[in-house]
Amino acid sequence: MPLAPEVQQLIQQVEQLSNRPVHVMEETDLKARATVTPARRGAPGHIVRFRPGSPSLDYLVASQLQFLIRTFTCPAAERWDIVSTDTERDLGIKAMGLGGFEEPLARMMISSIITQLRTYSIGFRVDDWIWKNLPGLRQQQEAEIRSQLAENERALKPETRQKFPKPLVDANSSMNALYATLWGERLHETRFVIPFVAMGYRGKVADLRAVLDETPDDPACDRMLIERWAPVVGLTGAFHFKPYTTD
Amino acid sequence: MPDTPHDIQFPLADFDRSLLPEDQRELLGDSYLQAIREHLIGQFVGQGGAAEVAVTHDRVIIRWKESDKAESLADQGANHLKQGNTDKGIATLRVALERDPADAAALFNLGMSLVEARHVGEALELLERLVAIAPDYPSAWVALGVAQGSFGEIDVAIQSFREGLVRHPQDPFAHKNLGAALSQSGQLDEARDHLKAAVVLLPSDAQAWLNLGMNLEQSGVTAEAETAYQRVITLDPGGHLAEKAEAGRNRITQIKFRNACGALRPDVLTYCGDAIRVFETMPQEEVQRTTLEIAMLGAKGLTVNDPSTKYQLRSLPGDFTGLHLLCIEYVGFKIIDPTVDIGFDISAEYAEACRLRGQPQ
Repeated sequence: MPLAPEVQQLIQQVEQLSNRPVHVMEETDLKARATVTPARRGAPGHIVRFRPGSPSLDYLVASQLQFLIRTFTCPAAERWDIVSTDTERDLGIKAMGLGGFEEPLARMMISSIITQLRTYSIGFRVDDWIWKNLPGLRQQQEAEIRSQLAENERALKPETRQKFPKPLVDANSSMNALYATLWGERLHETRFVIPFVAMGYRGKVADLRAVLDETPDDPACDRMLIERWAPVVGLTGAFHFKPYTTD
Repeated sequence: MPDTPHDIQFPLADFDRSLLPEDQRELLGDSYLQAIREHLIGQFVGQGGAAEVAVTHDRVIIRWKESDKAESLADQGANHLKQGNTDKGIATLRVALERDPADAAALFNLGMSLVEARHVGEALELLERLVAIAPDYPSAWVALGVAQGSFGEIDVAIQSFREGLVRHPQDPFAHKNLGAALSQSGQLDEARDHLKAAVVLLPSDAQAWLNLGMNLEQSGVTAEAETAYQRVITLDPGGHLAEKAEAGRNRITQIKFRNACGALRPDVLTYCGDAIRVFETMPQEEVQRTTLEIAMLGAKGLTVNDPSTKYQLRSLPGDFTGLHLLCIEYVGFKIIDPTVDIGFDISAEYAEACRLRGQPQ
């Protein structure tokens, strides 16, 4: 599984910043395109997993590595994780209209939307960096972005939206709408945003974008970015930041 | 990924009504669905492909197909206008200008279409912006002049047409419109030069020929005016321009007719007297049949100044001159419908003929 030289450089950078090795491995049943598990609890290294068969492997791995780099670029005292207490989780479940769902399902969905809050907000920084600094991966990046855009469009189907409560659907769609807006502009295909605008998400896009633009693109400000996005998508009080530890 | 269609669907209930024009936000039923459809089609114009939009009772379905052969938004808008889809054309051009306020083609075409739609104030703003941004854009000054003329500012319009000619001396529309505007402001001689240039450059433009005909008629150059009017009738048979040309020809014929014999023409007096006498003994239906037969014949053109008896009727025996038939028609309409104006004034002869027959008019 040879990775592109620029990806190998990123691996080295993570390893230097964190003093832990990086392992990249396939995982057939992975739901996401790729994930990263930082090294902790005695794990020998950071693990980047990806779904096999992806033609965009280098980009997928690079983007996961960039998330790690942003974490380890910050001084140890300023690194953080997102967690929810039971009270916060209940608050989030109520805010997202998930009260009528079985608790395990409601917990899974609230956890999922908080993950999206983190991966989309910081993900824009990550993708922007890759776009500007790794032109050799641009083709792969564009293919993956287009694939994500198509997936987000599919989620607009009435059959999909009616399965979930409106606050949750709106939180998800607002972030997807910003994704369509920013990538539509970058790819010169503003059509991606038309369905979202038609559904009234222009205001949310403007709010999220304003925060994204106002917050400095500095890993030390990633936490602030998430904090400021949370009220826009209705997730105020549904989580808190705790210091990052390797335990 | 060209030519790969894909569908996007979302619930109709989630559509944001506030995106529609104000007068469409309260629509219901099929009109509402149609308004959404048109709005979304407009949004996808100029996106490098084609969108088909269907709106059902519960969802909006967009089928998007990318294409390499995308034309600009302004071109698409102009094409809609050419195909007579005015609303769609205007909507498309507005989107083009939202994306690029300096799009000269969009400014020009939207400005012109708004003049035609009688939104002259907005048209003026757009066309003034156009000449400021792209003063050499073909026919930009002409379009501005047309808008100014529609606003009643003939002198300002003339200045714009002149500016257009300075930049494009062979612009036929600059000559055509400058000639028309000068004629309107009474500057007939200078106008005629431009109108003659216009018909050379636009030999199939009926409006240009009509403008020239009217100028020549006003200037008393009746033979040339008749030729110009005849050209209009040939180019626009049955159209409203041909009607105007026909009216012009009739005016000229009457002038000639009056000039030929002074106040009362004895031949017309005789024809009117004969017609009154014949119609006196006829049932109303027969008068109507004869009158309408002549009217139908007259639609193809009666030569009033030709003395030869070359016309026959099914409803009356004999051979007739064009003038004779016209007199019968005039008298016939006085009986069946006096409000009809046949476009030829022989009222003095008719009045005298009535007086001689001891009849009220």
